[in-house]
Amino acid sequence: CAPLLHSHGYAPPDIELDRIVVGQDSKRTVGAALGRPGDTGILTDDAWYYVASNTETYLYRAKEVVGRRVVAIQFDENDVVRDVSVYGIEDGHSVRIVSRTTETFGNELSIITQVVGNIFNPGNLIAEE
Amino acid sequence: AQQIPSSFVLSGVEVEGNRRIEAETVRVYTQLSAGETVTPSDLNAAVQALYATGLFEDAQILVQGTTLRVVVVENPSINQIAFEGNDVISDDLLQGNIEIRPRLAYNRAAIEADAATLIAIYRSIGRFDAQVTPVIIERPENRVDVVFEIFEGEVTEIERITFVGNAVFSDGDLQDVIASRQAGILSSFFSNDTYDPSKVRLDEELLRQFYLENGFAEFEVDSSIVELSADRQGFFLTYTINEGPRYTFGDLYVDPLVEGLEPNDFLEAIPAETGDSFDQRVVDDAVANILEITGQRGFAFANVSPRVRQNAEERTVDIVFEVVDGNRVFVERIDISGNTATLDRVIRREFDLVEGDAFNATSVRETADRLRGTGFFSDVSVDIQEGSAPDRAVVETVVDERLTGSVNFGVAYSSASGVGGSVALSESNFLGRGQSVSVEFSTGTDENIYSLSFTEPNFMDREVAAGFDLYYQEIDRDTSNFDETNIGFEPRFTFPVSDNGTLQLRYRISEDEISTDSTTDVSAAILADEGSELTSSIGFTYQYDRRNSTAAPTRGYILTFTGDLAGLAGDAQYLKGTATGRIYRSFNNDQVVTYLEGEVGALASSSGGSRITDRFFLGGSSFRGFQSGGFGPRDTDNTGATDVDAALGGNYYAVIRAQASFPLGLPEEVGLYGGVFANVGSLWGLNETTFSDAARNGGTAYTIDDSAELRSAVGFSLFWDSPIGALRIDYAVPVTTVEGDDEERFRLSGGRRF
Amino acid sequence: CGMFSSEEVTPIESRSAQEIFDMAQADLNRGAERDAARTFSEVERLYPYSQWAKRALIMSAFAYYEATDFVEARSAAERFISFYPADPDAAYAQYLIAQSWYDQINDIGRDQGNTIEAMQALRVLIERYPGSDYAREAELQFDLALDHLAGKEMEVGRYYLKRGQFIAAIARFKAVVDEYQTTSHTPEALHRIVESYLSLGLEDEALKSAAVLGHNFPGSEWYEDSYALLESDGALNASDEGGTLSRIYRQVVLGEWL
Repeated sequence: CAPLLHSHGYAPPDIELDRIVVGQDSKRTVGAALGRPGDTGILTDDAWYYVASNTETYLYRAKEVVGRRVVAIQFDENDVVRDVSVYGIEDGHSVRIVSRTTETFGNELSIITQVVGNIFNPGNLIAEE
Repeated sequence: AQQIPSSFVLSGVEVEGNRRIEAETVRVYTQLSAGETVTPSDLNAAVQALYATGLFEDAQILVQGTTLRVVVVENPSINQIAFEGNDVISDDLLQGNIEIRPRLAYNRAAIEADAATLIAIYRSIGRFDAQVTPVIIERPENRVDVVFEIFEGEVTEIERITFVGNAVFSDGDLQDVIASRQAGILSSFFSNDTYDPSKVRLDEELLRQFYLENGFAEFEVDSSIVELSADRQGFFLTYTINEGPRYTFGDLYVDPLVEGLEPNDFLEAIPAETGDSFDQRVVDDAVANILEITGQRGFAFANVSPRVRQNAEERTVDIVFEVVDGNRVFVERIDISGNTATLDRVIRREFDLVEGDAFNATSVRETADRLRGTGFFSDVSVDIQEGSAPDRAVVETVVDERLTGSVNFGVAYSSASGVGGSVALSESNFLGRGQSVSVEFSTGTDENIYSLSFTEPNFMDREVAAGFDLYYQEIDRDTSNFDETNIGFEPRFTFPVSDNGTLQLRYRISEDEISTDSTTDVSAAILADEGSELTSSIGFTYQYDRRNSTAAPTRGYILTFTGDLAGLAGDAQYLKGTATGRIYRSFNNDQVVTYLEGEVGALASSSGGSRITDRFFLGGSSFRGFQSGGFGPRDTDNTGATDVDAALGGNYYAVIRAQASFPLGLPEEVGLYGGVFANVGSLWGLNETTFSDAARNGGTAYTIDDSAELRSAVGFSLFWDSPIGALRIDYAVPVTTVEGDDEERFRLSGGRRF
Repeated sequence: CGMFSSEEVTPIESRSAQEIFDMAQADLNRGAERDAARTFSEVERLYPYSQWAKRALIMSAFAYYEATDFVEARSAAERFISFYPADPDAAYAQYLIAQSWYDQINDIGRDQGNTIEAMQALRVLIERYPGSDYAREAELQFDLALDHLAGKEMEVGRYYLKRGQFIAAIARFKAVVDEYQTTSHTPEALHRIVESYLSLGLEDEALKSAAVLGHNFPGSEWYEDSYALLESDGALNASDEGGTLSRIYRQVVLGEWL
């Protein structure tokens, strides 16, 4: 029984990446060659990130990210490529995410409303053997 | 009329003739206030504004020096609305479709519009000569009642449908292809024999599709003429078609114009060879297969355009499937709305696509089908909008939810367990989480069942359906004169092991008690099993499903293997296994659905021998023609001393079933299907066959025949998708039986024809 | 003509506007809001031009709202505004429309259509009747509704975060930081961005996000979580998770799926 594979996101392959020349290419030429980045960093817009990941779902195990390619392109203050680096899944940290969430209000669907709602549903009175 | 100065500074606005509406309100609507310079166009705009509110029957603005006199006559208020002369459509339905309401201001235009809407409604159900005339009745206090007098007219039916120019296929064949039907005797019940213009276009499309799928690449509908009969009661439909020659496939190949893809990557993509009869479905399937292959190879943005060349002399069609690198479109957002009950994540998890992924139309279509498959929604619509840039797409998903649960009170009768009262609550989308919960309390003369079952389809975000069944039940097995009481807990986990295979692992811990009330007429074999026993067993069910659909399969097969091992702890020690295989075939383009099924089972017990509650029983829905437990090893006292006649079940069984189901020629709305079936098989094997019973000729030992005797039965069924659920009525005639079998000729139960 | 006479209507027809109004008022006092609402709207139907009609219309909108029949409450209030836009009670009618949508807002896991309708009705109330005492409360409710929409974005962001789709998650959390920065979700959004960048291995972006969080929300628990996360390279966070069984109970039974 083979695992189920999926690929997500987009990261330029090496043959395309090699055409980018540090110190010469600018945001415009990189954008034209590699297309739009997946993310451009938090504060300033001086870094472009392209991320592609492969996931695997095997039997009863959760869908797992098994491979990730992160292409990071840094730009200097006049938008010229300062550095191009590629990270893999091994550079990532396995982070324990916090399960607490910020309080919100709003009507939840309560058991009673759902049961009452069903009373007027003749749809499947006959239980199928 | 007096000469209006070109423009002047307004000093004041007086309002006259208003009754319900205050002067201040009228001023607000005219947007004219003192101190403004006013031009004739402002005045005209003010009058238009007053009419636009729909509150006024008449409005004029007269200039007196620099003040304006606004004279209005208010529209009366609507007191009540009534409909007269409508019996086919109810008042509420009509009221629901019109705009005017009691208490709103009456105005001519709104009433005319509503009358037109009502006429359109009657046209949509084929009553083309219906008339609606609004009548206004004055009421005190400047109020009016509105009465819509309706003449519903007769249903204009399709008298006759004729085809001109069809040489290869007969009129009868083409009748089945199109949606319209000739008015027959039952016509007044069903709606699709009324004339409806959109249906004619649908018929043309169905004809075109049918011919394209059968090799007629040049097929065209020349004309579709509709004539009204003289007495305006019916229509004549005439379709003139031009079949053209039948074509076969010429060269078929894939031409990848993308770096990194070779023609031989697509070898099996085209499901047809040169010389096969032309079929449009082959072209569509080939495109889908090619996209599947390019998708897997990581070319997310590839798209396929089939270039078709018809050569009229050889009557062949060459198709080159060009694969080109499409423009890069990314999914910017997946927005879900309409889910007032279902949680966003329960819908979002059906998407393989993630925000930021390359856009893939086939994946979106598959997701929409999966969402419809959940059964939570009456409608799922997914459409693609352009996002914040041309290369970004927003996937907008709108769902219409439907009630996904049921609350059943009432009396349940089934021939197996007599009359009973029951309360059953079930919900397949519990709290909108996609979890299914069902609780049942049912008490009856023969059965008391208290059960709770729960399933979480995506346990801890995995493709694992985890759940459990908890039950306490007392069953009076009157066929064998003993009472069975079981209390049990069964956790289970189900997950996919391959594309078409799923595996369920389960554990069962249960206390099963056999008790007999009067000792005289109970079989000694059962008395030997009396008392209660703890069963602790692990089990699996492996299912390999290659049917073309789970809801209504017409092709393919499904294999199911189960195994249960008891004895890890507790008293029961046995290994029990079953295997079932069912293969479907259908004919007359999926109208007649047939299946052939084989099922075998075996129970091997350790030293103590198998217990009646663990053995297999056949009959009822598992073997039509015989009652549940109606045949197989049986302890019957024919000495007349006692009236023991108990079915003991068997350690082994084998059954072959065949069924064919078909429509009864009635339109689908009725949901009635017929069926014929046959089943043959046997139930045999006991560990212990010699017993002694003091009451029977002095307690001398007697033996029970547990050999394999063949039984068979044939019969016909009626399936009805009734508004309260799928019903099945069977009439069976047992063919090979053995003396002492309990036959059952008539059976009513829930169930579908698949 | 007979079609209009049905039992319960005839006596009302013969009553005066004031009598019907008082009957409705009595229903209201004894807590039968739905009956009161229906009787008030009879005043408007039978005596549309009496001075009681206006009073009765706003009272019927109020009574329907109290009886949580929001659809009827809205249609009555909308009728009031179209007939008496300049009346001082028009602000209250608009307030009732806004409240009826506001009370139907679903939790963040579900469709937010009602939230958007509420915000639009509140915006009309604030802009058309700025002076009224309802406007101030509307401002507050508008912000709460906006906060709720930010909560929905967070819910989707957390969905992608949990499944390891960090780019999708970052995009949603950045949407909250950019478009909803005044809401109560911004600290959490920044922390989630730290979690995402750290998971990707982009430590400097994680540090930058934590710095923004620390600078703007120094006291918030989320900053403590980010600090702990960065110190331990992702292994620790300040809040404890409990064992697997408690996680299963929380996620399957309570529906807290994070």
